[in-house]
Formats: sequence, structure tokens, C-alpha cells
Amino acid sequence: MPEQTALLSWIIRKAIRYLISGFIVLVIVFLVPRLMPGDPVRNLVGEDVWLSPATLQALRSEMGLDLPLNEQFIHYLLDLFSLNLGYSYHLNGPVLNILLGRIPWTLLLIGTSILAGACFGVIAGALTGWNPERWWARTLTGSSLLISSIPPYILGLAFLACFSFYLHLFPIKGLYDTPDIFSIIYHLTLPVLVLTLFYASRNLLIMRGSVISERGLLYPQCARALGIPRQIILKRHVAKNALLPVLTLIALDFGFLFSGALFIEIVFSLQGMGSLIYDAILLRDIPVLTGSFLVISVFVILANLSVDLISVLIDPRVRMGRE
Amino acid sequence: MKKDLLQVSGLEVRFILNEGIVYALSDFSCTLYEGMTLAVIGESGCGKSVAAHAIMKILPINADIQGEIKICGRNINGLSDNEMNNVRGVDIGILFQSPDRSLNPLYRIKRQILEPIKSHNRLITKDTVKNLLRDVGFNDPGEVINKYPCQCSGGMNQRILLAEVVGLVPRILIADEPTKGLDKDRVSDVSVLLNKMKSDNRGILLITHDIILARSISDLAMIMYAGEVVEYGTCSEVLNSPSHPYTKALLMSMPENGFVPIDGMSPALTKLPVGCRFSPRCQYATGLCHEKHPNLNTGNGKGIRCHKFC
Amino acid sequence: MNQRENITKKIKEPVLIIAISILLCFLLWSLVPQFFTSCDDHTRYKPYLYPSFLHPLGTDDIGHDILSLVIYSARISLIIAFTAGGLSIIIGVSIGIISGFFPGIIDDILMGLTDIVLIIPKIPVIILLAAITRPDLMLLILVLGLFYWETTARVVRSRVMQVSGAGYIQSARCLGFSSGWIMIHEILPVIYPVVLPKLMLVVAGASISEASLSFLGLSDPTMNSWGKMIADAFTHGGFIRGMWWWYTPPALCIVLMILSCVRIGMIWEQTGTETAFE
Repeated sequence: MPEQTALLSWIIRKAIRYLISGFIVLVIVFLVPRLMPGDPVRNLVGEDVWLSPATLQALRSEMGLDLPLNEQFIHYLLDLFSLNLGYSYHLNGPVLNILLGRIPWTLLLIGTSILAGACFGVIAGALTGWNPERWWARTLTGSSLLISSIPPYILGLAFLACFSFYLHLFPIKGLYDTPDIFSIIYHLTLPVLVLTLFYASRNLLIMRGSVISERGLLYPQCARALGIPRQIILKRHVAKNALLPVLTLIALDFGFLFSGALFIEIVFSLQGMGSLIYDAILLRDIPVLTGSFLVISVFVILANLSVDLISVLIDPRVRMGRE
Repeated sequence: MKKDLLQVSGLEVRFILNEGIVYALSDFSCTLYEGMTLAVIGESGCGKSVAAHAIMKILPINADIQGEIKICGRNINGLSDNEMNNVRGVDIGILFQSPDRSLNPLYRIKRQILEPIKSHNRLITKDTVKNLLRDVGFNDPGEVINKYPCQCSGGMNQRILLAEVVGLVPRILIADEPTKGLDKDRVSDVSVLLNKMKSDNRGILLITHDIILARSISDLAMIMYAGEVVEYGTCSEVLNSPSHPYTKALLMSMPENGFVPIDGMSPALTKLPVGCRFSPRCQYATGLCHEKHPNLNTGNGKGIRCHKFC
Repeated sequence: MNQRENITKKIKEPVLIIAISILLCFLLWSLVPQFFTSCDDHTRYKPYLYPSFLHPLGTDDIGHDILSLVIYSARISLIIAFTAGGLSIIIGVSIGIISGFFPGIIDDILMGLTDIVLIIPKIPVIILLAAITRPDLMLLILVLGLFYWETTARVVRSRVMQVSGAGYIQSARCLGFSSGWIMIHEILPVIYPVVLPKLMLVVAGASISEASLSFLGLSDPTMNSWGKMIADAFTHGGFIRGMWWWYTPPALCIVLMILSCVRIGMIWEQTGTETAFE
């Protein structure tokens, strides 16, 4: 297959995949409050908010809930395109603004942890995969197995109890005492540490497995037979080839990673999306929940998209249409 | 007096596995001089590739290797892996089977051919890669050098691999089934290349099923069965007037000789028979053959492992 | 049967024996909890008691004996994990087999579906659903089960594709056996080495998800599970009072269960070196 045609068909396939996923997400968010048992207005506005029947009726027609479903859907899509994500009665503000205030902190937490976790995990994973019998490799593998089997919030709780509560080394809650960079770093150290440990151990295990199976393939042995030194084989051949499935797995995992971060925010009482969602759950603040869900889905789709782009750039087999 | 390139004596390889011990190679010896080609012939699993890998010291860790190996006069038994890297590729090179999987799928052809040369600090010119590719039969090397292995056919990859190995101009070349899967034109290209190496005074260890190829370019031939050498001698002696029962049966099984199959199956290398390993299938077998394991009788540049020829 | 000999040898390793014993212990706890503790999980004693001889792990904020809570909670935690795990394995295996066996448009559609479901972030969906509807055990299991089948389907599909090109499948087809028969009798036995480790991993994943959801308060409030115990400790003052004996045991149980599942799944792990010769 000529390169251009294969590439084009790949782009089309991926585009279809992402568009459909995105569409399904939109449909879920649209249908769930409207089809679930109970009054749709209640479902859309949230429980525990006292509204008089007159207000309810006004809201009902304003939200167009007495219109047929397909018309509602059109309104819904139009609302989304104009970035109207609804209004939260609990927090008294448009959902969009509320989200915009919280997202940067979450991104800070996740971004730092993912980068640090990726670097440590991948490098350590490559080294342990290359020398799996050494004592340090075995120790690292064992501890990574242990850490990644602990749900992140339990790990967070353990760290919180140990380092903040008993040892008083780190603050217990909040993003900062004073809004300057040092305080922020101080407060974020423990959560970032927990998340990084979690990501790094998962990455280590995956990369290690990938390196071990790449190692068993023929071309590294062939390179060795040609007299190329082991270190170079690791760096230039095996590590690069082993990295590809790792990237794909990380992208697929992104939803899970995001959720993990949310739990950490709850445990450490950080004012990001995680605690927003937690409070919204307690208060049954549906608009905030649906808005958050949409935002999270967007991020996950973007993450998957980036990984797909990377793999098409690096791996010629993907470009040729032979995955 | 031609120099010794390769001297192997008493090479034995065992694999220690959970299920038991695999006796992959027993009592293997050979000598290779400059300009000499030795063909190693035998069924799948007879140990020929194990011998080749043992010589290059690229067997896996669970292999237990005994015996002495000298490459270009140098005993390689005690060499560390780093020191061995200076030997591999330049003193002795090996051409693997399965060329599609022997090349790194992520790198272009040009880079892969250049890499071993650079890694051994050899000189590179603008046309190094193109010349190498022309030598292996590519009429238009410029078209191939920027491709990836997944874009080339099996035959093309086989020749690219050959170019990569030959590019280092090793003194000894081990060719493991170099013509497997190639059609007639390509086979003759490979033949020509091997002959060229011969005339450059290189030594070639040709591992093959292809008896016709062996006849056309090798001087000596060695037949292996169940992990040991059963007969060796000059090519014409062994392949035209064989002595060992197995060699005879092997030649009879060739299409042009009637395609007569050999009854039975070769023994599992974990449970070798007492006595001669071929005796369960041999039509000349006597009681002695089933009880006592025959040694390799050498003399006059010939060797045969059979009680009938003691 | 070389593989079976291999597996029996591997089973004798000490860590694996510990893992299996732990799971068996939890199983016993869920089946006959009354053998392990004299109190049950709803009698109320004095709340916030420190560990003592009568209550080895003290009591919680309502006065339930914590040790009994831990033992009785095993039942719900195990039910959720294994039912959800089983459900997703069944779905995954079915889709994988059908997809691998009928290449072409069916395969494309099923794989497309799998791809799409893969992207959708699971926990947020579950949170959304659970927040809107009343939390219910059955619904939780159903949703968890519906969400973990993708990797199983993929793995099964590639194995089926490997195998269905093999000679004996072709000959079965030529002999006139129907596809359904072939799928059940020839293919199913071959794929269990890839499915069983996945089962354990999925069970572990379901455990984590259940614990996480309970932590958020989204699981059934009438059912006791380990995750719920931790959540209660967090929200009902166990943390502030430093009552580590309240939240540590259930956390330990969750982690041990996950580790055991993962370890057991590793029995069927195969590492092979591709050799340059036969």
C-alpha cells in the first residue's frame, strides 16, 4: 500500500473513532438525567435545592423539557457549542466558570506527576527489564508491584496519616497558606509524591515487561552478533521499540490516571476538580457533575489522540497500516 | 601454509531447563582455514545452529558450554562480553535466519547497515551503503536505502542482512541457511557473493539444508545428527560417496534421488538413546550399535562415527 | 503435558501459596463469618472504643465491633469483585472469540466498539450514574462488569486469530463442523491461559473500583464493604482521632486481595525467547 493512502485511511479511521466516542459521551450526558427515574428537572438542577413549584415550572420550560427529545438534543448541542454548561444552584454560578477556576490546579497536580512518573518509570523500567536478575532490579520490581496494587487513595491516606499527622512534616490540607510559590510547593509535595509513586510504578512494570519481550526478539540478538555493545543495543534499539506499547498503554490508562488524581485531591483536600466532584456528589449537584464529566472526557480523548499521533510519527509499521 | 581462522575442539552445549537437560551439542570439533568453506548439513534440530551460536558466544544464559574455541588463534573461552564484542562482527560474523525479524523495524535500511560499521569505528564513505547493496544484487540501491524493513520483501531483507554482515568484512562468516526462501536468481547471487568471499581468503561455515548449494561452493562437508557430527570429509567424498548410514539415507531422501524418506524420527535431545543415536532407525544396526556409543574415528582428513567403520 | 507440569511446579512457590491462602481465607470469611468472630456486624456496643480483649479492633462511631465488620464485609467485597470480574470476562471472551473467528466486517465493528468503549473514562461515568440514581448493589456490579471487558476482548481476539490459522481448525472446518462447535470445543480450551490471568487482573481492578466508589459514598449504604469502612473512618472522625485500627485493617484486606489476585494471575505468565533457530 503506498504510504500516502495508508496514512490517509489511518487518519480517517482514527477521526471516526474519536468523533464517535465524543458523540457517545455527549449522548450519555444528555440522556442520563432525562431518562433516569425521577423528575428530569430535579435531575438537571440537583437535589436538595429548594425551589417553589412555580420556579420549577419556569425552569422546565426554560430548559425546554416539555419539548420532544430530538429538539432538546439540538438545544443541548447548541448550548455546548456556546460553552454554556449549565448553572449550579448549589454554588451559585455558571458551571463553566466554576470549572475554569478549579481545572488549573488539577492540571498542575496531574501534569507534574505524570511527567515525573513517566521519566522515572520508563527509565527505571528499561534498566530493570534489561537486567532482570540483579538484586536491585528484583527489589524495584517487587516494590512497584506492591505500590501499584494499592488503590491510590489508600496510598494517599497512608502518606497523609504518616507524614502529616504523626510526623507533622507536611500540612494536612489545602493548596496553600499564602498564595506564593513556596507555599504551594510545600502543600503539593505530598500529593505529587503519592501520584508520582503510583504512576512511576505502573510505568516501570509496563516498560519492564515491554523491554523483556523486545529483548527476546531476534533483532537485538542479531545486533549483538554483529558486535554492537550491549548498552547501545539497549539505548538505541530495545528501549525505543519497547516504548511504543508503553505509550499506548499510558494513553489508554489516562482515564484511570485522571480518576486517581481526583481521589488524591479529595484525600488531601486540594481545591481542584476532585474535591469539586466530591462535594457535587454529596449535594447531588448534577450540572457540575455533568460538566466535569464532559471536561474529563475531553482530556482523555486528547490524551489518546496525542499518543496516536506519536505512534504514527515514530512507527513506520503503523503508517503502513500494519499494526 | 594457510592460517587457521577457526579451531573448535570438543564443544559441548547443554541447556538446563525446568523440564530437564537438553543435550543440544556433543563432541563438536572443526577447523577452518583461510579461503576454505565448510558445509554443515543436517535436519532441523540437529545442533548446527547451536554450534554456530556457541562459537559466537550468543547463546542464552542457561546454556552450559564446554570445550575450546579459538578464533584467529585467540582462545575466546575466557573473554568478557565487552572483549567479545570486538571479536564479533569483525573477526567472525553470522547471518541469521528469519531476515524479517533480524532487522529493527523502526530504522531505515541505510541506518541499519551503517550502524555496525560505525560501532566498530570503520571508515565510511558516501557510497559505502550503496556499494554494499549493489554487491548483494540490488540494481538500484538508491531506491532501497530509505525504506523500512516492513516495506521490503523477505528476499530483499535477506540480502540487506547479508550486506549488513558482509559490510564489516569478517574473516570468518557463518551463514545460517542463507538461501532459505530465495528463488533461483537470488540463490545464484548469494552463491556469487560467497565465492567472492572465498577468493578473498575468508573462511565460510555454511549451515544449510540445500545440498546443491553445498556441493557448488564448499570444500569440506560435515553431517550432523542428534547433536553430534556423524561424518565429515571433502565435499565430493561425503556427498557423492557417503559412508555413514545416515548420510546415505539423507542423500536418498533428496528429490532427485527418489525422495525416499527415513523411517522413524530423530530422538528427543532430552532422552537420547544408549549407544549410537541413529541405531533405532539404521538398517545396518547390530547389537553393538544399540549398546555402545561410537566415537568419531578420524584419519586422512576424514571422520566417521559408526561401528561399521571402526 | 508439558505446560501442566510447569504449572504444578510453579504452584509450589511460597509466595503463591500465601496468595492462595489469603484468598481462601477471605472466601471462608464471606461464607461462614460466624466461625471467626463472636460478635456480628450490627450489634451496637459503646462507640469509639480502643482495642481491647473483647473488641480486638475496637468499635466504630456507631458502636459496631470493627473486627466483625472487617470479617463480615468480606462477603460484599468478594461478591462485587468476582461477579463484576466474571461478567466482564464473559463479555470479553465472547466478543473476542467472535471477533477473532469471523474476520471482516464483524471484526471491524466489534473492534471499533471496543476501541470506543476503551476511551470513555469509566469512573466518572459510574460516578455520574451513581449520583443520579440511588446507589444499588446490582447496578454497581452491572456497571463495573460492563466496563472492563475491552482488554480481555483484545487479548482473546489475537489469540483466536493466531490459533484459527492453525491446521487443526482448518481441518475441522473442512470436516463440516459448525463454527459454533469449533468455537466451543477447539478454541475455548486454548485460550484459557490468556483469559485466567486477565480474570484475576479484572477482579483486582473491580476491587479497586468498588473501594474507590465506596470511598466517595456511592456504594449501597446498607451493604458493608471494606471500601465503605474506610470511607466511614474518613468521614466519621476515625481519622482525626488517630484510630488507625479502624481504617488500616480494611485497607490491608483490600491490598492483600489485590496482590493475591495479581500473583495468582501470574501463574500463567509465559516468557519465551525467540530463538534464531528451531
